[in-house]
Amino acid sequence: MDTILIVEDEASVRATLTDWLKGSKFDIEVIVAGDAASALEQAGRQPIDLAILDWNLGAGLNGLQLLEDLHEFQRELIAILVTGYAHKATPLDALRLGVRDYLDKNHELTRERFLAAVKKQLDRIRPLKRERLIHQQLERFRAVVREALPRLETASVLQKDGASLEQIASGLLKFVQKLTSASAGLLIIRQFTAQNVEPEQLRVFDLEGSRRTDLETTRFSQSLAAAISSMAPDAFMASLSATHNLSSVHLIRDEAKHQHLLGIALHTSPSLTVVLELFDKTGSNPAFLPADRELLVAWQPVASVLLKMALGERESQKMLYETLQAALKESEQFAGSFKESGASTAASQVFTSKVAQAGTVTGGHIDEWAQTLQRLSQRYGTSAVDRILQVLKSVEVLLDDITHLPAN
Amino acid sequence: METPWPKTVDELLAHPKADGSGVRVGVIDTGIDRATLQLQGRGTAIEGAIFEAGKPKPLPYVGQQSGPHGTAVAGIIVRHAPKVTLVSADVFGSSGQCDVETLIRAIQWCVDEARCQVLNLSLGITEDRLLPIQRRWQLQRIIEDCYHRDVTVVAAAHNDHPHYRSFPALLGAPLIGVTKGPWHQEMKVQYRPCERVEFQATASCDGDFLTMTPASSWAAPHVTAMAARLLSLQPGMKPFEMKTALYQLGTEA
Repeated sequence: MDTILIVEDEASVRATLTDWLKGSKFDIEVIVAGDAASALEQAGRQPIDLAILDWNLGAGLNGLQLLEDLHEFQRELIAILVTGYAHKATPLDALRLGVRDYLDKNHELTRERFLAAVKKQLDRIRPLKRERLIHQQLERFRAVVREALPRLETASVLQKDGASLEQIASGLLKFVQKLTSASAGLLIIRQFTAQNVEPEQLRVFDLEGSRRTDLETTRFSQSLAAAISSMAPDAFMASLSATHNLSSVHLIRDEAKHQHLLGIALHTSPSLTVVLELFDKTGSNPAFLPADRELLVAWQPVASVLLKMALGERESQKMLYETLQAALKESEQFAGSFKESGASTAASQVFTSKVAQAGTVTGGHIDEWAQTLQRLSQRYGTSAVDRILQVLKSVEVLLDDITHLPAN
Repeated sequence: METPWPKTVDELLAHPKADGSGVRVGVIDTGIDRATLQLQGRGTAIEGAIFEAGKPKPLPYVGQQSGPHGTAVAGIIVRHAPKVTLVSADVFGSSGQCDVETLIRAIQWCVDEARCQVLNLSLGITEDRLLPIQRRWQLQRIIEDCYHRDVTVVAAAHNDHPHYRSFPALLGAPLIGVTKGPWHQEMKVQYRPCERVEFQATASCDGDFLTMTPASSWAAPHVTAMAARLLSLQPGMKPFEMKTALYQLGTEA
C-alpha cells in the first residue's frame, strides 16, 4: 500500500482531491494537511510515497519549499505540484527537488487527469520501493549472517581440538577393548564416495588412536575388515593361526601376528564403515569367549547410534557453516547488482537534469527521457547509459556538420 | 547298473553323477574372487554381475570380490559340488553395503537373465530395514516367484536364531532356511524346524580360515551344494521335492 499526502490550503480542493483518490481503485492510504506545518508533522509520523502539493500554501511558503523540507524526512519522496501559478515553477528546480508532474488547477484539474497523473507516479514508485525494501531486507540478512558466522566458526566442533571421527571411534575401540580384556586392537575406517577421484579411503588406527599408514597395504575388498563388515550386525570370531595363502582374506601385518580375533562393524551411513578388531584376550587363554561376542553384538547398536549422533552433529554444524558462507557470498553478488542499478538511477538523474539545463525540452519530454533512460540503465547497466551519451555526441557532431553551426 | 537314488549324504557324495553338472548356482553375496578359487584348485566356470544401489542396470563381473565373504561361500559350494556353474551376484559392490531393493534386483536377474536353478543367500536383513511393510512384501513376493518358477532358494538364518530375527530366512515355506548345526564334520543336514527355519547343516569348513569358525553363512552353502548335486541327478526338481529330498537325507543319516 502506498501513502499519498495531499497538502492544500483550500478545504474544498482538499476534499475533492481526497474523494477522487479514495474513489479510485488504487491501493493507497490518503493523508491530508492544510498547511506546511501539519504536512511536516504527518511526514514525521509515517513514511510518505507521493506528495500532492499546492503551490501556494500561504504564509509566503510554496509547495517547492515544502517539498524541500519534506525531503528532510524522506529523501526519495516525489511530488505532483498542483498549481495555478505554473509560471513560477522552473522545471530544473522542480525536477531537482523531486517534482515529477504539474497539474494546472485552472485548466487541467479534472478527475481523470488527476488520477492519471497519480497513477503514472505510483507506477514509477512501486518498483523502486520494492527494490529499496529488498535491499534493506538483504542488508538485514547479511548483517545477521555476518554476526552468526564467527560464532559458528568458533564452535568447538569445528576447532582443531574438537572430536574427530577417528577420536570418537578410537574411544569406542578402547571401551570394547577394556570390556573384553583384549590385549590389542585396530580400528579400520573406510569411507567411500562414488564421486571422488579415488572412491575409497581406508585408514587404520591403533589402540592409542595413532594412524598406521604402514598397515594400509591391503584393499578393503580383500581385507579382514571387509569380512567382518559383511557379517554385520553380528560379530565375527576367528582363529587367525589357521590362515594361509589360499584364503580369500589377506591379513595385514598386525592382524597376522595374533592368534584370536573378535571383530564387529559399525555401519553409520552408506559411505562410511567403521570396523573394530580386537585380538587375544589377556590371561592364560587368549581365545575370546561366546560371551565376549554376545557382549559386542549387544553393544553394537548403541555404538552405532553414538557414532551417528556425534558425526551427524558435527556434519550438520559444518554444513550449517558452509551453507551460511555460501549464502553470504551469493548475497554479496546480489547486493552488487543492486548497487549497479542504483548507480544507473543516479546516472539517469544527472543526465535528466543536464538535459533540463539545456532548456530545450519541456517538462513532459524530460519525464519521457528520464523514464527511458532509467529503464535502459536498469535493464542493461551503466554501460548502456554511456553508450547512449556517445551516440548523442555523434549525432551532435553530425548535426553541427550538416547545419554548419559551431560546436559548443 | 544304475546307481540308486541316494538315501544319505554319504551316498549323495559318492554318487558318480551327483557332481553338480549342468546346475547353475547363484551366489548372492560380496562377489567371488576367481583367482582365489583357482588357487584353491576350484577351476569352475564363474559368470556374474555387480549390483549397486541406485543403478538399475548391473555392472559386468570382472572376476573380483568386493569382500571375502562371497568367495568363502563359493569355495564351500564348489568344494562339495565341483561341476556347478557359479553365478556371482555381488550386491554389496564398491560401497560395501547392501539394501533390500538391490537384493531384489539381483534375485530377479539371477532367475531371469542368469537362469540359475539354485540361489544361495548367506546374508541377513533385520526387520527394521524391511520397513515400510511394502519392502517386506516385495522381498516375500520375489522369493515366492522363485518357488513357483522351480528355483530353489537357500537362505542362512542369523547366527543367534531365534534370538535375532533375520530375513529372508524367516520367510519360511517358500525357501530353505538354514541355521548352523552342531557338527564339524563335512556335509551334514537335518530337518530341525525352529521358528520358521527348517534345516540345520554343517557350519564350518576347512580350506579358508574364515570358514573355520562355525556360522550359518557357511551352513547355507553346504545345503546349496547338496541341492546342486541332487539337481544334477534329477534336473527340474521342484523346491518342494528338494525339501523332501533334503529331509530324507537328514533323517537317514
